[in-house]
Amino acid sequence: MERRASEPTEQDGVSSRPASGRRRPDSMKPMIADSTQRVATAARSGWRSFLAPGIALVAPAVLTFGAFLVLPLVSVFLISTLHWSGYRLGDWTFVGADNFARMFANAVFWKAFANTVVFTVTTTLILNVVGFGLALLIASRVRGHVIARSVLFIPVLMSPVIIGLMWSRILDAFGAVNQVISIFNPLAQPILFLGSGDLALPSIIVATVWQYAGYDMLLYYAGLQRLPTEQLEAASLDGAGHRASIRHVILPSLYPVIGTVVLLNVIGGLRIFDIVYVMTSGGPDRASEVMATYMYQAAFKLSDMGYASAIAVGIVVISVGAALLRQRWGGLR
Amino acid sequence: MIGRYSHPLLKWAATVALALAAVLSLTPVVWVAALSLKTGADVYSSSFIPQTLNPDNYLQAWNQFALGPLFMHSIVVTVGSVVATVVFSCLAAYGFAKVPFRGSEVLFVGILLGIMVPPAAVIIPLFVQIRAMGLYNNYLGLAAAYTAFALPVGILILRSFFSSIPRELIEAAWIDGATDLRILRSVIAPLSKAPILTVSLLTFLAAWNDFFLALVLLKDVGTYTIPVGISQFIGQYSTPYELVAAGALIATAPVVVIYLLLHSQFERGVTEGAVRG
Repeated sequence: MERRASEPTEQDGVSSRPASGRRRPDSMKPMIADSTQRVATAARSGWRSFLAPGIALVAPAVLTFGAFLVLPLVSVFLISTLHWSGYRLGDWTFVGADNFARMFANAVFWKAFANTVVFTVTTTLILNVVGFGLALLIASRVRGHVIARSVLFIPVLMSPVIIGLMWSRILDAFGAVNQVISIFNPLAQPILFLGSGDLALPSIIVATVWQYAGYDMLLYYAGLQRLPTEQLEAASLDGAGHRASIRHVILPSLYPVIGTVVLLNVIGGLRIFDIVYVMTSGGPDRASEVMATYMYQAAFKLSDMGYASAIAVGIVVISVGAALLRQRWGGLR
Repeated sequence: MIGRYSHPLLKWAATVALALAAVLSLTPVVWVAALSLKTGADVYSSSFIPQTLNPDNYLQAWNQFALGPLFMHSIVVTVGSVVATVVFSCLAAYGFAKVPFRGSEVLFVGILLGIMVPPAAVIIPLFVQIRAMGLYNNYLGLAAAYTAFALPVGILILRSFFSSIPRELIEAAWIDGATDLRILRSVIAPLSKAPILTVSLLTFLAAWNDFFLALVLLKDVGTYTIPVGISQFIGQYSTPYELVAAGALIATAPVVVIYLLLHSQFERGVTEGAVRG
């Protein structure tokens, strides 16, 4: 063993590499050379760096991401210029901007667009106010705040499908809400929340707020943990009251957090699909139709792939708009 | 300042407000739990509390909705996407953080932009493409889609952690003759358990709860994952309410159990994923 280990050094000196690939103390020198060379290669730019090991490392992620996210994102723009049922590749006709013209002329699209905006704005406002209030309560460490935090956070982890299913039961003719109403007025007709054009979307908003209040709470709570303690102490030494501290110290240092949470809620609101699909399927009579449910119906129920892709392009444009706003207003780093 | 109330009455009011919020948050779940224990005749009564407890509903729901197979399918797809996301993110994050190459910064920023892409925006071409690849109605196709959507946040979280690992540690391993894979496995991964757990939990949540992609990319009832399978309950108006309630609670149980076991990691993960994402 000892003889074999020293063999290469005796014969070839430092240029020898162990054929077995085993780690050997006597091959230290060439390895140091290798390492230095690698660092140099990595830092150097030029065609040779395309062969750098970094490429191989990122390849699996880049290929998956490219094939299942980038390629479809590019294709959706192409499909939006076609009339196509989606059944056979090539069985399409190029129609230019016709799908977009149809979309903008369609009242249902505008209804879905308006509902998406109403849903997004309403949930964002309520969630931020409720979430911030809850975070303040949790941060004040009153009795039971640990349990309350968990109780409020668990709905965040649940599938929106299950939330929708539960709330459909809660809001139906024999559900909890109608039970409570019948306690106060035994003769009242049950209210069909999800069957009413005026109440369907608000019902979905309530269920969504119920699910995500704990999310905003947690994000604001994390923000509150990073408050500048010294400044707060200084403010209280200077005799600043509760309200003054909130206004002049807490709020300004929370602006980036508020920006992040608002834009997360906006992005989440623009994507809404699951809970609407489960609770109302966009009904009754499109009263709760949102862009994603409208697109799903056009694509997979009516096989109008070109038109549905035009709606999808609309979703991309709105999402990118929200993302740009987020970049502009910064975030919590 | 936050954390102290100047007046005992304020503290009392805060305690009551928080208790009220917790009760409001819990009431729907408790009501559904009560519903899940009612007998069929009792479902339409105005009473909140079941007249007789009927835990048999759970067994019946398990069988009637074929929850066993649904769980199996969800586990297969979720485990597949978590493993792929963690492995691919680790490799790529290591590449971006420690083995840069020409254009790697641009590539990284490009991947980050993927965070902003909603699934609804790409679902039509994704469906067409996955069908053309022979992956329609197939867990490989679904897991690949979940992985693609989970990679940006995974790479972002891991890259920033890997960047903080001292260069000397890696160079020492290079000098010892370790390959990149070996360094990743034996030097970096053991140091990065927390961020790897964060990425795993985020991917798990997204895959386990996803409805939209599974709805489009799976065709047969026999391949459905839990959210798609469960959404079918509501379409069947003949389905007894108490069984729907029991099924919904069974389907939620795994996430709640894992949360109770790993709650601080979960909360940190969700915060980190949101703030970075």
